[in-house]
Amino acid sequence: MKTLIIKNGTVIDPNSRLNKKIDIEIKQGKITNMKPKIMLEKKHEVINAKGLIIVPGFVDLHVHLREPGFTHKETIKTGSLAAAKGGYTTICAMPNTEPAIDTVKSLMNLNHIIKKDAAINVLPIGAISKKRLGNKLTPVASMQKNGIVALSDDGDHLDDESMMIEAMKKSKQFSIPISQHCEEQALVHNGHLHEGWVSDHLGIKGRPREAESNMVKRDIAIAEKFGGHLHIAHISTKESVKLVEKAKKYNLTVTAEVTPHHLDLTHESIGVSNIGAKIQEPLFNTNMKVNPPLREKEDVDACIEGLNNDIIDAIATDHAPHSFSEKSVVFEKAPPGISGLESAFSIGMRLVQKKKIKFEKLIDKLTYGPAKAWNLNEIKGMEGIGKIKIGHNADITLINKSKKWTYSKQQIISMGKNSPYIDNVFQGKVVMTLRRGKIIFNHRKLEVL
Amino acid sequence: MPSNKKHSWKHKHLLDVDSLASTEYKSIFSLAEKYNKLLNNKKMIKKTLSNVNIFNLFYEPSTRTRASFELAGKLLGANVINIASNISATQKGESLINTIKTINAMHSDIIILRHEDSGAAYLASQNTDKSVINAGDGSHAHPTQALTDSYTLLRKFKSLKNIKITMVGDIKHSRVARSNILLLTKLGAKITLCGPKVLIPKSFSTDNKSRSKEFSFKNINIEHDLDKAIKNADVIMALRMQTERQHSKNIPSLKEYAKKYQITNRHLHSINKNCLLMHPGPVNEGVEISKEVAESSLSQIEEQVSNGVAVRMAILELIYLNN
Repeated sequence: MKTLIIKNGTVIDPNSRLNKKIDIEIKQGKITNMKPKIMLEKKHEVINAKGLIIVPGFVDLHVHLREPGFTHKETIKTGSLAAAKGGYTTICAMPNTEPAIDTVKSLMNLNHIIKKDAAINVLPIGAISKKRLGNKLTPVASMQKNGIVALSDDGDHLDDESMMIEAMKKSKQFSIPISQHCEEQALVHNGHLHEGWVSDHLGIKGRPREAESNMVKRDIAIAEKFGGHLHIAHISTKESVKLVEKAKKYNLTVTAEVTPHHLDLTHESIGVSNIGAKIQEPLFNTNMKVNPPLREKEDVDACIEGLNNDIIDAIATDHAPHSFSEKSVVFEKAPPGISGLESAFSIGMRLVQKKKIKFEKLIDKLTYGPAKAWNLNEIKGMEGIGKIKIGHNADITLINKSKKWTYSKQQIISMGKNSPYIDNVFQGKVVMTLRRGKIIFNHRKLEVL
Repeated sequence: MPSNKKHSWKHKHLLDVDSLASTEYKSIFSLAEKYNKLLNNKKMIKKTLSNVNIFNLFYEPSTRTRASFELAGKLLGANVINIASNISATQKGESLINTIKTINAMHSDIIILRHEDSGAAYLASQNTDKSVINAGDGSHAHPTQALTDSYTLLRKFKSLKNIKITMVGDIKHSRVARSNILLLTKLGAKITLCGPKVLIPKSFSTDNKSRSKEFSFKNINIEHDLDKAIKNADVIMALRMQTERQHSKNIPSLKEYAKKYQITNRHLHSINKNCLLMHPGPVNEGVEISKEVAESSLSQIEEQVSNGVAVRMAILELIYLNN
């Protein structure tokens, strides 16, 4: 393997607060040198990153890869390639597969597929409860030995309070985060979008905001009493952000993530054909259907503020691919979810362009923020995740901040084309992704000397 | 083919009343008036839709809407084919989109769809190049009923500006209420919504601030006390209790509802003597209104049904001749 030099780019590394023009030398997949000017030699392979920003490969704490069980929606292979295109080099796979990742056996099978097919680091998450039914805990210790980095029954909320208490005790015992999808089942039953004027207008039962905040409140109370690491998945309401803020003030181990769409869209978007276009008529776009639902402007603002104040630790996509025919049904019958890996960074750039968040903050929340939230760097072999650092794996993403591009359906690598952003024009694009020094995504042939 | 130059129509489909321009609904009203007169002399009706294929695709039971569309189509010379979901391939699990595609392939010109899910007509319209008319989708919209109701009122009042209309009953689950609220407020009427709290969405009130400006309603207030709500009304619209859509916790029982919100003879004495009483049907007699009230001289229920045919003739013709 030739020595690779990334030249002339600006390196931003949130962990070391580095933000300057610097060249990077990569040998055997590791970063071996970083300094302002590395002299080129014949044996070097060179990537000219002039005008580009070099950041750590993105980290996503919340991805549905659907394999095994739902390979008509996505596979480890297609999902990880889609992630690479989105700038990700590490993603955490949710266990709501078929079978669910609830035993060492199903985990070993998953690990096997990951080893065989994954283009990037895919870290498994184990189910909290057997078959995700919410009534019997899974074998945490043995699953953790086999690589799970968190526990989650995502897709469903773990309603049973006594179960949640037991889960948090396990979380404390094994230092493993519990990623909780906070939506109280009884309140969201048969609901399909945020409960508010749009659900009233469309005549569809809503999912009230209290369904989320009630459970955030309950679970924080459990974390306070029993310890453990509570991670609030896809936070979406202003009330929840307040509760997490308070929990952090009390130094509880509570972390939170937010999706790109909850930072950008509201329930009013469900009535609009093109995002940003003037509201004309409700269109029942099933690609806007997601759980938790798109909320109100105040909630979007609170989530953005939460990111800026570090109340929210990470941006996570909740990448939820579905087949075209599954989404081509009436709104009430469509499965919830947005295919998000390939648009996340560019949606974030919208916030940067609107001056709602600083570029450096966006990069932090896509890289070191998530790694730190789950203490991934403390796991053996993962010390470099979310960082650009000498001695660690060269998991690196190159960004063109000003590049305009259209998010067209044909270009989506994920099998799930279910995105409300189809045909949107974005400014800012991931142009290259390297994993362990190897180019796994290249937007255009960058000059290689 | 007769010219319809004087009538304005620009939509391919009729999916809701939200997007209708005033020139469009006025065109429907004036054409409906023409057909209303011609209905007394049926042989004078020109077969403007001869050789046009209209498919009535009904996923929910219906008497008046379905028959009214069928009659309207036939009076204009169209071929009308009725498909009821309980006797068709939809029972065998055929999806809505596939059924629409099948009908599309049968040289259809207009598809009239009734469906139990909100937004179904939108989905259908996105999967066919034919015109789709929404004959009721879930709790969302029932544009032809609203157009019929407004037309019926316009024949009585000339203008609906500042006419006080009280809607009583299950607003929350009623597509008729949603479409009527939108159209009647566009026509300048003042609306009072009355019924149990759980059956009236708060966001419909003009006072509610959660709506964005583009969608805020003018002239709507909520009054839960029936006597107060109907006291000065020019029109009372009783709405059917949508028991098939109601969450079990919504109201204790129909009996309990009737006790508080049924319009009975007692109310006839306290309301304006010229107050009109409407109901989109089907009526649960003894629930929303008493039998005596339904049959009283104030009742417009039968007129609504007969006007429905003329309005649907107008809609079919406008949509077909302008596409």
